[in-house]
Amino acid sequence: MNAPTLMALLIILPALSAVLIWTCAHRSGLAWAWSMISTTLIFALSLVLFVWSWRTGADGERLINSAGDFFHTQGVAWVDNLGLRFSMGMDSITMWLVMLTTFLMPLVVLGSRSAVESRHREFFGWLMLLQAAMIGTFIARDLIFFYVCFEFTLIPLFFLIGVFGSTDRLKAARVFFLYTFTGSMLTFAGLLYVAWYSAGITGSWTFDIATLTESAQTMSTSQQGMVLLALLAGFAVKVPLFPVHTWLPLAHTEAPTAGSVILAGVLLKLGTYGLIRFALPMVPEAAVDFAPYIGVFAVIGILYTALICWVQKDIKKLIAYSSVSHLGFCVLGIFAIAGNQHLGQSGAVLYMVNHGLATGALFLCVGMIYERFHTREMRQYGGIAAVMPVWSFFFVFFCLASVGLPGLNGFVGEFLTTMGTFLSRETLGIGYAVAAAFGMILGAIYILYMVGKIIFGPLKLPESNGHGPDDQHGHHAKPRDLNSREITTLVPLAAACLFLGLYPTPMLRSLDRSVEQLVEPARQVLVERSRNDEHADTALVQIDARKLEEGTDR
Amino acid sequence: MSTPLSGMLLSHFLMTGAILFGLGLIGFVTRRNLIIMFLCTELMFQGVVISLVSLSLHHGNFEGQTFVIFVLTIAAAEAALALGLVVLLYRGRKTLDGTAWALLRG
Amino acid sequence: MDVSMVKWIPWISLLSAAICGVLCFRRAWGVWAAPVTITAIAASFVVAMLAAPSGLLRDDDGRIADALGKSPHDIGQTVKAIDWINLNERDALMDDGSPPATLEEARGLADQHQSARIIESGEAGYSVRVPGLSANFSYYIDPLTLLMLFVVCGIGSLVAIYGAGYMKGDKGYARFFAAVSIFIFAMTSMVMGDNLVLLFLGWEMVGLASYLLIGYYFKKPSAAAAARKAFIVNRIGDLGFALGIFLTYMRYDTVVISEVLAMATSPEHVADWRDYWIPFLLMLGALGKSAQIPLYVWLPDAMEGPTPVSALIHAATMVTSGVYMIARLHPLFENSPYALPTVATIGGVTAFFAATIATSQFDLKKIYAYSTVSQLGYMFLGVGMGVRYAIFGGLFHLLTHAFFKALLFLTSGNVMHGTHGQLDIRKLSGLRHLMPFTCWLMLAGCLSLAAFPLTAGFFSKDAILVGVFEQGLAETDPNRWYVVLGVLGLVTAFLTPFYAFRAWFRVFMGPEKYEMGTEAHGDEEEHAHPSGADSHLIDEDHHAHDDKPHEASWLMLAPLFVLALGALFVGIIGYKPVKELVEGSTAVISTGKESLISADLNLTLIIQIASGIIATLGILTAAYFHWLNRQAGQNLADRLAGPIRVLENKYWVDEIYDLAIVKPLRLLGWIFQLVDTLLVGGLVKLFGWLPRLLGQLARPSQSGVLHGYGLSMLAGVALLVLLILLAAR
Repeated sequence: MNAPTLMALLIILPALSAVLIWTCAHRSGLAWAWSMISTTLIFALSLVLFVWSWRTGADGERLINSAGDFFHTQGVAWVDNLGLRFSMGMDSITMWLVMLTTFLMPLVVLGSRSAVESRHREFFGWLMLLQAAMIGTFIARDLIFFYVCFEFTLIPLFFLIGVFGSTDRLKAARVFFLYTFTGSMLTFAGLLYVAWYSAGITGSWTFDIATLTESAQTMSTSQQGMVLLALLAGFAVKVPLFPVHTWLPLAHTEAPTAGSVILAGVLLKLGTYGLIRFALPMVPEAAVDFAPYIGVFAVIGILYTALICWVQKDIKKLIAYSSVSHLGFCVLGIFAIAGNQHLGQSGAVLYMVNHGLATGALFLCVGMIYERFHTREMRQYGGIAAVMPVWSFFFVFFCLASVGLPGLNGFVGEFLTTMGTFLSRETLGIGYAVAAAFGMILGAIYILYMVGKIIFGPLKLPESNGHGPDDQHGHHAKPRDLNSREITTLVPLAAACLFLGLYPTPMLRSLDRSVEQLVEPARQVLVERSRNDEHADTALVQIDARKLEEGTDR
Repeated sequence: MSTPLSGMLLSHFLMTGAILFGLGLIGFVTRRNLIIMFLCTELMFQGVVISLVSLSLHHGNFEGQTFVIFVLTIAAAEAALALGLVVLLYRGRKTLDGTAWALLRG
Repeated sequence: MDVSMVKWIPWISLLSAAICGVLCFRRAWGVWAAPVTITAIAASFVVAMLAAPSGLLRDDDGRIADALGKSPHDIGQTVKAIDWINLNERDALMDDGSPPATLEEARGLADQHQSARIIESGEAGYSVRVPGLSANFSYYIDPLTLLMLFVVCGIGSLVAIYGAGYMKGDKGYARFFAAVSIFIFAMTSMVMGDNLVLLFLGWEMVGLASYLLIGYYFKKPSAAAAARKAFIVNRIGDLGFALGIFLTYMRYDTVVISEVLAMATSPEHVADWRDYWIPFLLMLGALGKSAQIPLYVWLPDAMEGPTPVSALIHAATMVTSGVYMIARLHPLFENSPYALPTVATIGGVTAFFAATIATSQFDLKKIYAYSTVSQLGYMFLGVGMGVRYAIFGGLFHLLTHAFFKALLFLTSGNVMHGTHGQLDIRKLSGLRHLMPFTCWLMLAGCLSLAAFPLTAGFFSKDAILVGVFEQGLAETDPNRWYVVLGVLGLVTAFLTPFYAFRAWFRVFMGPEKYEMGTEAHGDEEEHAHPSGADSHLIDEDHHAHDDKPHEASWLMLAPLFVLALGALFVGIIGYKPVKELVEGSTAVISTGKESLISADLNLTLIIQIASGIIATLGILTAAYFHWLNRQAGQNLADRLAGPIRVLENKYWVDEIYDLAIVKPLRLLGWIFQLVDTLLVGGLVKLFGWLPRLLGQLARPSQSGVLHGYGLSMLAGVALLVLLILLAAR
């Protein structure tokens, strides 16, 4: 079995196991067990691919450090006349995001062991299908294939929220679906336009992303602008960027823990992934032109949602809003296009992975206390550290990772995106970086307020949590701390956070070339423009000189 | 297909089709019995089918006639389904009056 | 020992932190946390003292070479442990963002960058490859690092030994030592870091350790609030630091300190706008970490932590990191004309300001906390002066202050330990017979703090003041503002002995009288009320068996003797070696050697005599009002009720900050929350209503009656026919 086949298996296996779970797993434990096995197996598969990708290639360089796809299938024909193919490929950006997905899934399944009371088959079946769609989005190298997977992620999540969510789940599911679906329809229109344009100049229909990217670059500035707007409509909603973020807090709060983790961990990254994979290389001129405006929205989002976080009463809502704030850094990094470095974009990819780990873990933590006390009201908690020290340790740890404490993973991404923004004087520049840096302070403030309320202070546990008979006597049964299953869920995440915080260099190096390749067109635009400015300047000088000569002649 | 349909003959055929279609439409609108209404739709079908066949002959290719085969097949299936539905509806309200049902009102 | 061994110093402590973390799981294991941590810190100390000196540049006669005019690469050594953030090399571009077109351009470009290389590349012309961002776990060892390692690991191990006794019986014993180990990891990483990002890592991680330790008694709401405040105020400073790093990277294309300093001090270097701003941004970080105006507010509150923590982190080591950073990056500060004067002014003003508050506080630890702020102000004054002697003074004061302030805090910890948390100096009196060792140990600390002649504090503080007056009275181009700062320093030198001895005379002299406090030694857990609302308080009867202040155990007293020796004699012993160390470090590579004032004015002697007299006066004043004639002190206080009220309330700075910054931001948060749900959410809803509205309009057409559909179809067909007929015409 060769590597491309393994890669295809990453999509096929979860889809198959979804079908299996739906048809065969009639006993409640079985569905969980099967999805546990299948997610672990898929993680193992992706790990094999990952290790494989560190192999030294023909040019003496590690595959993962090289530019472009290092695994790719030629694809299976889908609709021949239109050039549709199931083609897949992996470059280092994809590799890391797929690793993030496959790494999170077993943990999510493990964490959901006792999260749902009934309809296990549906729950785990949808989870499996969601995994297939997410991985498909990342590794698709055909535009329509990408889009189908991108959209298909909505359906499982719609059901996960709508069926297994908490009280307001129906509204949340509907808003989530309509919001993201409306946006991505526009994106689809934009992508189709690119394909049509490309067919116009090359003479044959193709949906191969690489080919399209190349031909899209020849579009005029105004065409590029329209396409960028269309792309933003879908991807910005998904990210989500201010002011189209309002679906996120609702969806996060109502979703079951597994849904929240995947939503924050992976699904939001589909948006930023789309921006870096399509917006930057396809429409470089528009990206350069629009960067300052998008940057403004990102910065507003960072500060505005950070302040909102500070006054939240619901733990999950707070973390949800904090995602909006964090992803603002990511978008800022992506559009910090500069002539001589791409720290922002590398940092943004790093940020995607790091945010997935830290925020995913935070949602898992919140899910754990929610299972015990059935409330997410911050007010009702206090001094949890006294009774649940292990949980408190993990919660503080992931909070610090999310705040961007150096030595943990959050810092590297935050540092590089902000630094990239600071240095990109051609597009964003110092002002944006300063404003974003204020977001770091606010980030510390709201997270620490939350930690202070839940973990520190005199012990306070929610009333009427329905645990044990002691409640009736005004005393609380001492809640049990994390059990070994829950610790097993959190330890790998903590280890990953620590490792990526202390040793991010291999990851950064592996991303370097792929990111550079995606940024290159935009950078060329900048170089071109500065050349033209120079010519204009010299032309002006010549005119001046000629005038002087004419003056002396007279 | 050696001789394509001439213009004169074609217009006759088309006329027939149009008349059949018109009759079906008028019947559909004026009658209230569900079975009659259903038969009227079939009549409209046949009108269209005649036009297709004649035009196919006129143009000298088989595409129209291929369509007709499809349409007939579907119409047969549809008839079976529709009559079943009519029986079902009759059982519900003991009447075949088409105006008795307006479930799709917006 | 080879100098490369120093790379293990931080990691020893990290390992110890991990072990202590494991020991947290079982309470019975907890007792092992102290030996592990003490061993780790002591091992770091030994490694540092044995390995680091071998890496220093020396004269022919074995002394540490003077650093003036030397390259940072020569006076120190870089030891790399592992990669951290290490990016590939990249193409350098011209100022307009284009690659160099000609060889001349490429050469010019290469000259602007450190270790650049030119590559000919086909049709594109030339490309200049420069190293990318390289911020690794790699350590720079110069005399300044050695000095800091001595302070951090030396005082650190003493405090850890003390802590082993002080924290005995506490439920979070292992947690305490885990955090202390994290602190030592961060602090050593910071003082050894060879690049600004690693410095920043240490900078923020010491903040984390401080957060965890201030909030150690997490059940007390005041401790939780203080911990949060410390972290957030520090973050504000760190924002400046981070931006400073970005700007440095923008200017010098590297964050490696020795390379930056080498470029900044090279004769060809021409300062531009970025050089003017870099020190101000970095300074913001220093102000936060070292608790200077306007970011000093967190330090007094930080006394909520266990006393060993106050001694180690909030007096001896962490808070001095701002001073260390300014000294380390001194050449960058010199490149900006207003940076050093700003540092000096902030330092001088803070020293005075905090000293005035300290004179009217009643909480023993609070007094020392404000005293720390004040002494840090002195250090800032010293390193901000830009002359050698003052820089030496600032760093020497850092060392002596570490000894005497750690001693003061730990002895006040003894008092607290012996009286169950009673720290109010109005409620304690004449404890000298009950706690004899503590009494005389604290006297040693107070004398040194008061800069009594021949104690450690005397030499270091005088060195700073001499430096200040040297600048102010310079023969060429004197700056009279520094005379003002110097006088301010002398006034503060009077206030310092006053507040130090006010506390000492109150607590240990006079009639024996005391009220016991209400806190246990830390084993409050078992006796806590189950609901936890008042769990930090403890039932009175629990301590019925020892309601008398008692002397601390020998485990706690032993390290204090070492500290007391240091507080008294480090001035005499350490003067020469420290001067040698400071003058061999990066702090002075661009700071001239000659004295600025004429040789016949013996400034040092004048200042020493003056400050000796001032210190004695301060002690005598305190003795009169707070020991011999307390009634007079009371009368004076009554007469000055107004000003004292201002001082007792610390000039209401906390309240002003709360009103001016915290409240408005939170209000903004509420407004945004409202906007988000109403306006943004509303707009979206409006958007969603649009299709629904259209649907409402079209609704009547769907009657549901079959005939209606038939009719509309008929109408459609008719319309089509009509159109065709019209078109055909």
